[in-house]
This record gives sequence, C-alpha cells and structure tokens, in this order.
Amino acid sequence: MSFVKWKRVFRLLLKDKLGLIGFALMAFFIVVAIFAPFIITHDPQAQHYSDNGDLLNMAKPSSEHYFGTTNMGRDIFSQVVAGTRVALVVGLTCAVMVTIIGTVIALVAGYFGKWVDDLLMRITDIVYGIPFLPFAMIMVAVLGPSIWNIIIAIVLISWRTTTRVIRSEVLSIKQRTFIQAAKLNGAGSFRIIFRHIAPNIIPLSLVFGSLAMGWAIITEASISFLGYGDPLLVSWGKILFDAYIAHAITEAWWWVIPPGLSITLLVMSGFFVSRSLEEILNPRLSR
Amino acid sequence: MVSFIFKRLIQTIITLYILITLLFFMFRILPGDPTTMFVDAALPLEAREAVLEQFGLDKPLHEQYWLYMKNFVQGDFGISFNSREPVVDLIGHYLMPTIFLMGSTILLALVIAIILGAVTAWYRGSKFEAIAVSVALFFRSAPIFWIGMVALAFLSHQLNLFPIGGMHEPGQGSNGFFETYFTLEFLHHLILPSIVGAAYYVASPMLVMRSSMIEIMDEDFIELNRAKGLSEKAILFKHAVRNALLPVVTEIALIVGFAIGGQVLLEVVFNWPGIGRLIVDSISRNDYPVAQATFFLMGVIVIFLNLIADILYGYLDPRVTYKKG
Amino acid sequence: MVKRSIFFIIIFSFLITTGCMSVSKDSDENEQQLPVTEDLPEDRKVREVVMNVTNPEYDAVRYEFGLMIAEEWKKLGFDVETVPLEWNRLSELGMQQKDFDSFTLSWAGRAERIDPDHFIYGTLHSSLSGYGGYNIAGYDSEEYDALAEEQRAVSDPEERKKIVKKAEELFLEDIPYAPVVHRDQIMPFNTSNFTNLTYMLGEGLNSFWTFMELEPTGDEKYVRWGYPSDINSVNPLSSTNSHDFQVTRLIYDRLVRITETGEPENWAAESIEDVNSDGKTYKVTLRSGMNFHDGEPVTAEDVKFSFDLVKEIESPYFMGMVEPIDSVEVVDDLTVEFSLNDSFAPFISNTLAQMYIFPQHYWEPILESEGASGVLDHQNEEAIGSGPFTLDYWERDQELKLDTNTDYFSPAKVDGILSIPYSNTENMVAAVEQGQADIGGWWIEPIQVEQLEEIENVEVISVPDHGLYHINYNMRRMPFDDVAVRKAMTSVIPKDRIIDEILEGYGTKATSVIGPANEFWHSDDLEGYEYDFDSAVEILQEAGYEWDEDGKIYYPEGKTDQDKENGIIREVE
Repeated sequence: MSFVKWKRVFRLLLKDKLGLIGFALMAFFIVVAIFAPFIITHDPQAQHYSDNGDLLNMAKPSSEHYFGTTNMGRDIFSQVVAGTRVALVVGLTCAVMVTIIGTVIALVAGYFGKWVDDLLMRITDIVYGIPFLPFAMIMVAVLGPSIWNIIIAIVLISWRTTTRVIRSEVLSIKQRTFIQAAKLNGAGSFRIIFRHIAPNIIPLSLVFGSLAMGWAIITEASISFLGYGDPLLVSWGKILFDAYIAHAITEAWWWVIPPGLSITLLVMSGFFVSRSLEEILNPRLSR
Repeated sequence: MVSFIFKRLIQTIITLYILITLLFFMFRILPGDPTTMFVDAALPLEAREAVLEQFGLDKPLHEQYWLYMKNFVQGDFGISFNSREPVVDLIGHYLMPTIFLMGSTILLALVIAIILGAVTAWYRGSKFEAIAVSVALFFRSAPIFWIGMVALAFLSHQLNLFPIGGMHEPGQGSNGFFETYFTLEFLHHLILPSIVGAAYYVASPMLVMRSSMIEIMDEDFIELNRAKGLSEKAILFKHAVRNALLPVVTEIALIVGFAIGGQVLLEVVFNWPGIGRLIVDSISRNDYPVAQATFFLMGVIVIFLNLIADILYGYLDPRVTYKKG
Repeated sequence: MVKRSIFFIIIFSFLITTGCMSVSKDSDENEQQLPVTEDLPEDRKVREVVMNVTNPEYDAVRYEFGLMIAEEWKKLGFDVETVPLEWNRLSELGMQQKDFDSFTLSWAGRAERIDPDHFIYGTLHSSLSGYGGYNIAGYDSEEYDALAEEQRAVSDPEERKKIVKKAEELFLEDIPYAPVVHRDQIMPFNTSNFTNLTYMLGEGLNSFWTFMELEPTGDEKYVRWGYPSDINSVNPLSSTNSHDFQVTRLIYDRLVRITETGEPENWAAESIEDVNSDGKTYKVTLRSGMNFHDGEPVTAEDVKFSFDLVKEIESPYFMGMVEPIDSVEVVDDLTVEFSLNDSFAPFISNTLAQMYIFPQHYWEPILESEGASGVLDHQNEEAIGSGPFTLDYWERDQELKLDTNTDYFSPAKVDGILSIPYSNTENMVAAVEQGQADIGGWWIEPIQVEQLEEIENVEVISVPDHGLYHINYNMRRMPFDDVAVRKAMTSVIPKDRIIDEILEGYGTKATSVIGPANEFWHSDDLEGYEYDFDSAVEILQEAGYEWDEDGKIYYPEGKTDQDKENGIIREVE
C-alpha cells in the first residue's frame, strides 16, 4: 500500500470524527486490557474487610475502591479492568474466526456457484433459523460453562451474516473482466479465489469483522446474564449478572453502570470503526 | 419467475427437514434425561424409569427419530415433559404476548428509524446528524438487558412511572382476547419494554434509510422537483422518503430475525410471559418437546421471512434476475 | 495495508489469548506451615481432585462456599480444581451417575424431611448407593445399615430418637459427607394488607398454615403470592415439582397435616389408631360432613381409591409413599384400614401427611376410558378436591387464582389467593417491595435483608431450617476412600466464615445431619467438626500422609492412586 493511499486514509479519518472516536476508544480498551495486571488495584476475586473486620459489602465508591465493592466485598474497579481483557479476547477471537470462516464459505459459494452455492446458502439459511441465545445456552449446557465453549457457540452462529453479504460481493466481482481474463489464462480455481477475488473482498470482511467483535461481546454478556456464563471468569456480563442476582440495581448504581457502560462503549467503538472503514473503502458514501 | 419461486420453495422444504433433524439430535445430546429435574421431588428410581417409558425415551434412537418425524409431519409436537400439556397449546398460550411485545417494539423502531433516517440524511454533515447517529448506535451497542435494568430502576422503582414488569396487575382474571390485550392497563405494561426494545433495534433500519435517502437525493428527479419550486419539506416527505423506503422494507425480515433472539432477554427482564421465557425454561428443564417446537417455530419464521424477502427483493428491484439461482 | 492489518489482528489476539485471560493479584496471606519430607516418590503424590459446584445462578451460596472450601483444601496440600456445572449436568453426574470427586449439594428442608428417615436412611443406607440413589457418597457400612433399618421399625419416638442418635454418632465417625450449614429461610412479606403472619419450619411463607391464618386488614382480601417461577401442572398425579404441591395441597385435602412446629396432626382424619400396637395396621376414621368442591361427600371409598390409584398409575410423587402399604380396606363409610408390609415408623408423618384425597367419581371414569396415561396426561383444569381452597382459573405464567372454600370445616380468613409467577427472584422481590405482591415465596439473598427492611411495610422473616448444605465425598474413589482424608477435609471447612460472609449470619453451623431447627429429633450433644487446621494436619500425619517442599500431599507409604485420572477403586452398581 502506497504512501499516497495512507495519506488519503488519514485525511478521511481526521474528517470523520466518529471514526476517530471509535479508533481512540478501541485503542484505550486495548491498552487497558494489555496492562490490566498493572492497573488493577486489588485482586478482582479477593474479598475485602473494613478496619473492624466486617466484610465490606456494597461499599460506595471511595479512594480505596474507585467503583465501590460487590456484595461479597470484591473490588468492582479491578473487576471491570480485568473484564476488559476477557471482552477483548472474546471479541477479537470471535471476530477473527467469524471473518475467516464467513469469508471462505462466501468465496467458495460465490465462486463455484451452482449446487455448491445452493448447498452452502441453504446451510446458511438453516443457521439463520437457529435462535442465537437459546442455542448458546444449549452449547454451554452440553459442553460446560467455559468461555471457550461460549466462543465456539458464538462463532458457529455468527458467520452467517458475513457469508451472506460477502457472497453477493463475490458474485459481482466474479463477473469483472480481470477474473475472466485470469480464467482464460488458465489459472486454477484456488488461485483465482485467493489471489484475485479475495484481496478485493477483504476490506468488506474487515467491516464485518469489527461488527462481529461487538456482536460477540454483547452475546457473551447476554449469556452470562442468563446465568450460563463462565462462573470462574470475571467478565463484564458476569459482573452485571452478579449485580442483578444481588438485586443491586436500585441500591448500588456503581456496580451496574461501569460494566454496562464499558460494554456499550467498546461495542460502539466497533461500530464507529467499521463505519469509518466503510467510508474509507467505499468513497461513494463519503462525499 | 414462477419456476424460481417453485425452486426456492422446494429448497425451503429441504432446509426445514434438515432443521427438524438437527433439532432432534441437538436435544438428545443434552446432558441429563428429563427426569434429572425430578430428582428434586424425591422421585424413586422405579418412578423415573416409568417416566422414561411413558415418554418413549427408553426406545432406541432411530425408533425415537422415526416417531418424532412422523408426529412432526402430522403437526403433532407431542406433550411437554413438565406439564404434560400438548406443546401446541403451550405455545399458543405464550405466543400472543410475544407477538404484541415484538410487534409494538418493531413498529416503534421502524417509525423512529424512518423519520430519523430521513432527517439525518437531509441534514447530512450537521451536528444533529452526528448526535442522532451516535445515540442510535449507543443503544444498539448497549446490552438490551442492561438498558432494561437501568430503565426499570430509574423509571419504575424511583419515579414509579411504569409497572415493574409483567403484563397485567394481579387479579385481572382470565379474560377474553379483547379484555386481555386492549386495555389501558395492558398498554401501561407494554410501553416500557417496547421503548427499551425499540431503542435497541432502531439503529440498523435508520442507517439503511439514511444511506438509501442519500442515494435517492442524488438522483435527478429530486433536483427536478426543486426546480419545479416545491418546498424542501414537500420534497423530503413526498418524494425522497417514499422512494427511499424500499430497502428498509427488506430490512424488516432481518430485524424480526434479530428480535426473535433478543426477545429472550427483554422478556426475562420485564417478566413478560412470552415465547422467549418459555424457551429458556424448557432448556433449563430439559423439556425437549417444548424446546424443539419453539426452536422450530422461530426457525420457520426466520426462514420464511428470508424467503419472502428474497422474492420481494427481486420483484421490487428489476436489476435482480431470477435466471441465476 | 489490509493484509498487514489482518496479520496484526491475528497475532495480537493470539498474544493475549495465549496469555492468561483472567487477571489476578497475589495477596500476601500467611501460609500455613506443613511438615516437609524430602525425596518423596512421585507415584505417591495424591492426584488432582475436582470439586464441583453449582453455577451461581442456580445457587450463589453453594457456589461461594464451594470455592471457599476448595481454598482450604489447597492449604492442606491437595490439588483441587473447582469446576462449576449447570444444575442439570451436576445432578446427572453427581446424583445419578455418581461420576464425581466431591461436590456441594443441599437437601431442602421439606416438611416430610422433619421425620429423620430421609437423612438417616435415605441418604446413607448402602442399598441406595447405586445409580440414581440418594446415598451419593457411596457409604457402605453394615453396622450403620442396621441402625438405619432399626430406627424405621421402632414406632416409639423416644426409643427411635436414641437409635437415630447412635446412627448419627457413627455417621460422624465415618463422615461419608460433610455437613456444612443449615441456611435460614429468608422471605419477604408486605404488611400493607394482611396480618397474623404464620410460617413454618422448612416451608417458610409457602406453608399451608400461612394461607390458613392470614387475616386481611383492609379491602384487599386476596393474598398475592409471588414466586420466581410458575407451577408446571395442577394435576398432582403427574406433578414432580415441589412448588406444584405447595399450590395443590391447598386444593386437595390430606388426612394428616404437619403443624407449624413439625408434629403430625389429624386433619381430614378424625382419629388414627394403631390397631395392634405393632405399627402394622392403622385404622383411620374420617371427619364427617366433608365435601368435594363439586358437592359430593368425601367417603372412605375415596381414600381407598386414592391409594389404589397412585399405585396403579405409578404416580411419580406419591409412589414412594404408598410403597410400605400392602392393602387398604373400607370398613364403613368413614373408616378405612391400612395394612402395612412391615412396621414403618414414618407412616403417619410421611405417608398420611403427604397423600391427597382424590374424588373417585371424578378420576375413575378417566382411568377406565383412557387408562393410566390418560390420568397422568389429564390437564385437570377443574381440580376438584376437598381442601380449603377451590381453583378459579390458571393462566400459565400469568396468574393462578384460588377462592376460599367457605364450606370447609376450618375456612381460611382471606377470600382467596392469587399466585403470581415472576421470571426470577429479582422481579419477585421487587414486586413485594412495591406492594404488588404480599408474599415472596422464595429464599432471598441475605444481603438483601437490610435494604428490604428499610422499606416501609416490608418485613423479612427468617426461619431456621432443617435443610442441609453439605459436601459429598465420593467414597468409591481415592483419596476419599480414606476416612483420615475425609476427617481432615471436614476439619478445615470454615463454617463460621461461611455463615458470616456468605449467609450474613442467617444460618447455623451444621454438626450432623439432623439440624437444631428440627427440635425433637436433633441431639445437641453430638461432637461435630469445628475449623481446626492443625488437627487436620495431625490426622493426616497420623495416617501416614506426607508433604513435599511445595506443600503438596503424598499418600502413606505403600499407597498409590490406582487410577491416576479419577482414582476409581469401586464401581457404581
């Protein structure tokens, strides 16, 4: 990629304030996730006691506990910081896997057409027909409540959207002259798909990748909220679930607002980034 | 055209068949036979075996599958392991509340989305646009249960504006259809969950509307109308909006699909007696017949909506040809 | 750019995923001192054991105390992996298949468990240690079995209590499972509309007596009873869910009811006579003038029919209760005679106090035309019983309405009951807070008590319970086959901390299986296990266990894990 193009990207970014905010937010969360062990003030699972030995439950925010404590006397600030890492790992792993799986299926379906396309698209239809959250609940019930099983459940379902959109893009690229030319030159299917078509749809894949990240984070939180999350891991969804079962919503806003807001901001940054990518890649919208 | 629809119909039937088969195996691999839940009630071992036999769960898998398929084709979804009520009756009972909640949520979301989409496109580049898009995306990014929790804490607990959940005040009685769903009291219970749901769904149709509007506004006939001396408002609403609506209509299928999934959380937080809660309960109780049937129902709705969207899209947009499947 | 950024994302995500996902900070704890032996052979090292806990959604208390105890075991040198499981999975692996090392469980304190038979016989007799049996630990002691059988046959309560105590002493000596705490039942009540609140051991505010005794203070005469889920069915013959019976026992009458204090009291039965004083034949005379809700009189024929019916159709809930009965004979219109196979001490408190009287004229035609499955599948929308309330309507997951049966021999003071299901406990508590429900019928978290009590008109009752939170050891597996290990592990259960921190003081330490709340059957001079780390170490040392430099525990000389993975030495029958 040439310097000139980079300059255009950069100029567009500066113009697109929302996109800039999105990139900044995401960078912020990534930094927090990487340096989480240094940022946390307490062990997220440790219980804290007041000076006279009582469990510090649902303490208000203070200089010792920035976001207060839970009903079990755990430091909420440290939990939220630790949760950032879980959210990013879930979000990014799912995004990468969904993008790869979704794109490959779309490429194969779109390129080969005919019965291959029919078959793969009908499979997509079936996956569309499976309700997401209940399916994830079943996966967790079968495989056990670990974060990896939740990730598997999310990936197994989420590739459908990526596939569908990218396939139609592949269909239109396939008709373009340079593909026809490559075919005439005797290039193999594999080569055409991965050398000629793939590079053209990767930008679009990226857009969907950043959407998938947000989707994955919300889904993890929702599964945790229904009580099917990984109980040994401090995720934002788990913090919200703990607050919900402790009936803290009317009593301890500091327990409910920070994790919820973190989810929202991180997911939103994914939207902003994807929009911004879209505008960079598809100048028609950005006039 | 007709042959395309015919082909898609055949494909849809095959899709449904595979879905049904998938559901059969999905629930058979669930840990614990349904009597696991009965452990709580001091069920003696012999009684547990009796229950398994009564439901035919002691038969080999292929026999169970054959029976299951036969019943499905005949529209017999079996009876619930828990309540021994026919599954069809159970679903019928939970369906109406969900239709009302989902209907009002989507309707509200669409109305807001179309208006906001049109206005943001019209005032492209303004501060208003940035704020409206940001707010819509904020609610799209927030977990629906979290917004629900906060809304309940603030609007219901603190300000006492709305009930804390449920569909009716206690003691309303077992009423007819109209007395149940067409009262002010029902509306009062419906408002908050609908707003929370709508806030979540507004963003995507709004953005679709906005891009579609932008495209339309660039087209010649808008300029033509301007030249004719029509007021901006008239152009906006009479011409641009009407023409921009098409992609939004096709978006509905997608939203309904999403809404069916998201319904679970909304119903749990707002104590709404709908399909979402039925599905959660049936999974946690290993009540396969109910879970299977609700999964199937949701699948059928989404698959058919997609089919209709496909056909409709081609019908409305002449650029799509039906020659190529 | 594009390719590179994808590459970057992949590399990056692997970087953090391969690193540990959970973030923690070591807190400086004073490590307990363990005696160290050098150069211990690797094959004597005790394998890693698993502690299964429920997920916090199912029961936060069981989850939290499981983690707490696992930490203590680690201090003893055991490698413990804590694995939370969803309840269906846990009950399948733990309660049915016995495929576990150790796990946290709770025996709920039901009215029928006030009689010691459930704990003494049901959870410990060796005949029940197979697939699906309640002897989860796999305890197998001839001496104990003899005591458990003996207490069943002795009908004199004082005599029986002595045997129960002997059994408990033996239990504590062998410690097949570790009693942890008895959790108080805490339930919220809104005092705006009703007074004279009565509650009961093991049942809390869901008890039969609560609804019989409540008195309206204003215009609102229907009690609104909140519960975090709906009932499954109003047909008690096929019900298996305990909440179903909390509702149907108000509609159907029982010969005997357990009073608030736990004693059986004649109810629909006017008198019960042990004919030969050998506990094998009982003559029961019915109260006269009782009617079913449709106006038909309640007769001895109906009672006989009810017992025969549940046996014939294998009604899941009632089947176990009628098992000791050989035959039921009608003597006259109001008298029936029960002949038992053998003397069975809990006959009155468990069988007669649990069984419903079903109207013969209603069920017989269904049985004749549709058979057993027809009876089990019957929706029973009319629910005709002879109890103090009649069913008005039931809208599934919306509400159920009961009206007071004014013809009843001891009518309730309220006009009726509205049973309202909520999607979870949180919504139920909120409803009581807001005055939209009068009774919250589910245990609330101790943490909520303080905040609820601040609300005007909201009262929180807390009743000591005879239910038992405990930890099962799988005696079919090493190292739990060794009584020294079980004793040591039980000795480091921090019961005080569990009560203070998890239960906020709403609980009592469990010494043995029969809790202090069960006043008659509890023996308070039994010696249980108190937290004592040093004595735990001593017990293990005496048994020959040793520790390496890292504080890991090793088997006594000559002992190794036969099965490194699961330590299985005995199969489940």
